[in-house]
Amino acid sequence: MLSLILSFIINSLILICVPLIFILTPIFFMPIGVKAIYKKETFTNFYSSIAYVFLIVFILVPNIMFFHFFGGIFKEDLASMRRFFAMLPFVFIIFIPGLAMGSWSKEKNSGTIELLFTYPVPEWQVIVGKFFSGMTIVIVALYSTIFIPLLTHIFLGNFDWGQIVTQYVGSLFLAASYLAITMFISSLTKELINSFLLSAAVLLCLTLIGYFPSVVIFPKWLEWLKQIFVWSSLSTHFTNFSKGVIDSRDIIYYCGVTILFFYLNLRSLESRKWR
Amino acid sequence: MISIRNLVKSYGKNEPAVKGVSFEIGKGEIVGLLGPNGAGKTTIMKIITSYMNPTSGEVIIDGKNTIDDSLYTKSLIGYLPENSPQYDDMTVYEYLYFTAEIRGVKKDEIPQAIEKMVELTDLYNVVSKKIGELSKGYKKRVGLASVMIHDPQILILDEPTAGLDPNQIITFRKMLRRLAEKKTIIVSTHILSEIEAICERVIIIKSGRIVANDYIQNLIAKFSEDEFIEFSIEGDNLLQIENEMANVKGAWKIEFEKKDDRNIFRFKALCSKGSDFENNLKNFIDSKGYKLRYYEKNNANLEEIFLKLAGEEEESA
Repeated sequence: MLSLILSFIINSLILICVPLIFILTPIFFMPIGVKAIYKKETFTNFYSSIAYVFLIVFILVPNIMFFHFFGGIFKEDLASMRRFFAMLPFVFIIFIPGLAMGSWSKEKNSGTIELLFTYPVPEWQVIVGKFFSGMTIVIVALYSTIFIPLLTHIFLGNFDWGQIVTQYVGSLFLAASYLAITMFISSLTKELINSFLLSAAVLLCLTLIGYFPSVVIFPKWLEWLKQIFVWSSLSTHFTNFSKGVIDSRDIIYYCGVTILFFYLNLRSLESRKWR
Repeated sequence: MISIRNLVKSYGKNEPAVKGVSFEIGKGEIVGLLGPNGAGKTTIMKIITSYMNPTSGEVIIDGKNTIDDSLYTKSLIGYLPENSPQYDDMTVYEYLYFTAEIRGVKKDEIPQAIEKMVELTDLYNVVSKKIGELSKGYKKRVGLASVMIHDPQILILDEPTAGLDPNQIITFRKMLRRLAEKKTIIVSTHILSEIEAICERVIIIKSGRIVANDYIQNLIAKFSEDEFIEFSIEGDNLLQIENEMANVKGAWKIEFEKKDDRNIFRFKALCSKGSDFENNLKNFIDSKGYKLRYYEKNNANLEEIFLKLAGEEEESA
């Protein structure tokens, strides 16, 4: 029992420390613009009730689904969190647009965007500050699910901690790409609701196209299209992570998507200058 | 300090909002940008602050271009946009701390900088309150404190007194005059009394072009050959009188001011000294059978100059 508790503590610490190092270390070395925006955004997010509402929803929905729906973990009789992580791309479709829909829409709507871009900091610093702040909430939300391995590890069975760490790390990559896409879409519109619906729709499409080949039979001459669907889907690249496999192609894919939408976000914000 | 050369700004395929504007503002000057709504004042300010780029032309601040060296020029400016937008979820202190930090004030100097601004703008009572809970007057003061916290050389204020009550306007003007001793200030407004109360120099903009750029005293002297005539006519139908009045020749502009009584309508006309307007008006009143109830002639002041230079724009805006 003691060794179980000890291993839980050590593994939880790894789970907590890795993402924190991921987020806070770069922030520490970032220019003042990133730090100031990061602090302001994180503060505003946690000060408004919206962040807490979403955290509660994030804790409740996946956990209830994990333990109860479709027989839950008990029917499966396997000490694994794969069911939980299989649901995550779909939970994120609602959670992340809800979190980041206001990134730019709110600033545009209230006119504070004029302040933001007349401060003596480059646009990219503002984007990065907002992005890291969003990731901080995602990490807090993910931590709130840690009692699943805690309870099951102690009372039910022995989890494969290597797999769990991989799953959590994969979730961060997945969340980063979702967040970058949502922030870009938010920069296109002034209305919060438009930003939310549009982001959720785009994320849903990018997630579902990965499942297309398994429900639709592609003729041989359209095999290339099938490959494109599989390759471009946000969910298929997460499958390896949820199995506990770290594949560099998946990491490159998520980093690529995140950087691409960062760039598009920057261009979209800079376009105000030339309109 | 600020040099603007042939500034042009077009929004899409529409007619340019700013059409070849050029002017210079020296260090320590306090200049008013005056013009009707939609004349292009805010666009010019947004270009100076690097929020947007001009379609052509350039803005040079302290020898640097606002496109190539925007970070440097931005660091010299404190810009308060129209309506003074702020983050309502933050308290005054938190907001001032954030603006000080992002504007590059050193960490250990931030508390003193906030203290100084709170004192200058008299925010002691609300410093720990959320901005969303404050009145418009306080919000404006918070806005002003936030743009001055890094002690910028240039202050750009877009419609700074809009939405303030008369007491707040007086306090605000006093504060601005105190600041003007050390800083270059550009104030945009369409309120003439504001310009007369605060500014030394005025730049009048009409349809994206400068129609006057001079010291207020010089402008008044230049237009001293003009006069304005206030008169009241007794008649039955205001609309009919207005339509008929359009045919009276000799004035730059004739406009209805107010009702003196139920059937007595006050008008104001701007014309050159020695013009035929007086005679034409008398003939008009006699021929139509109206009665003249009030008549007064005055030399032109800034308001009349503005009416003459930018009046037509106001009608279309």
